[in-house]
Amino acid sequence: MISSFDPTVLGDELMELVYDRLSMGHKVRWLPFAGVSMLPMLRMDKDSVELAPLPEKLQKYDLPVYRYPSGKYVMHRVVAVKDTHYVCLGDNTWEYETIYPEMLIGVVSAFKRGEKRIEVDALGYRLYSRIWVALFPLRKCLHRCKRWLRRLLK
Amino acid sequence: MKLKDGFILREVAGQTVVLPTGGDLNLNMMITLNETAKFLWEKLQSEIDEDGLVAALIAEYAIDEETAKPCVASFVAELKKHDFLV
Repeated sequence: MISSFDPTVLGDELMELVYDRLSMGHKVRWLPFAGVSMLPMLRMDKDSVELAPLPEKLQKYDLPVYRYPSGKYVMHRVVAVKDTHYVCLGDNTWEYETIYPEMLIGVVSAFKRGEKRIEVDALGYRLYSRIWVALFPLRKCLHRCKRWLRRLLK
Repeated sequence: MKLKDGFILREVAGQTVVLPTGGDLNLNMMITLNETAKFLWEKLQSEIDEDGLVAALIAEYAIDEETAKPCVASFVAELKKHDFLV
């Protein structure tokens, strides 16, 4: 008669719930993370995030959740803060995204890797995010080389 | 017995979900109700005992007492487990 709530099956309607609660100034935890764009930090079907209401201005390395006009929800990292927009990038993606404030929904305040809760202000996580972003040009170069080698070996 | 204040039912993607009305929302702590549970939940908005719930269930679904009693008992036990009752 009573079952556990399965947030993975609700899609847009779940996000409406999330948006409602955030707009009331409350947090929403533990929203499952889908996709591979935030590897190695967040693994699909294993990890989840805690979302907090948006601050006045996001900072570099923050992890906002935003919605594209197409309706797609994305959570990627802020890698640059501009006057009118943010530049975001997934930890496992290669293209920068331009995100305007009106697309933003909330920001990650903590995440769970498996059962371990990690706050975004934890030293280890802060180090990871800074090193990972700093290594982007090198990672992108390695990624291109890998693709080039694969094509060559075909 | 009756339900504690601070919870509402919301239809989400065809499921009846119990939501806290205020504070943070923990998706891991949320539950969904089937149709019978939703009926009993609504009865528990005001003071009612287990016999009252059994009678209401019999009247609503035209079932016998032997079917209704364990159904109500298990529902009430689950509500107590989740700390929904005053």
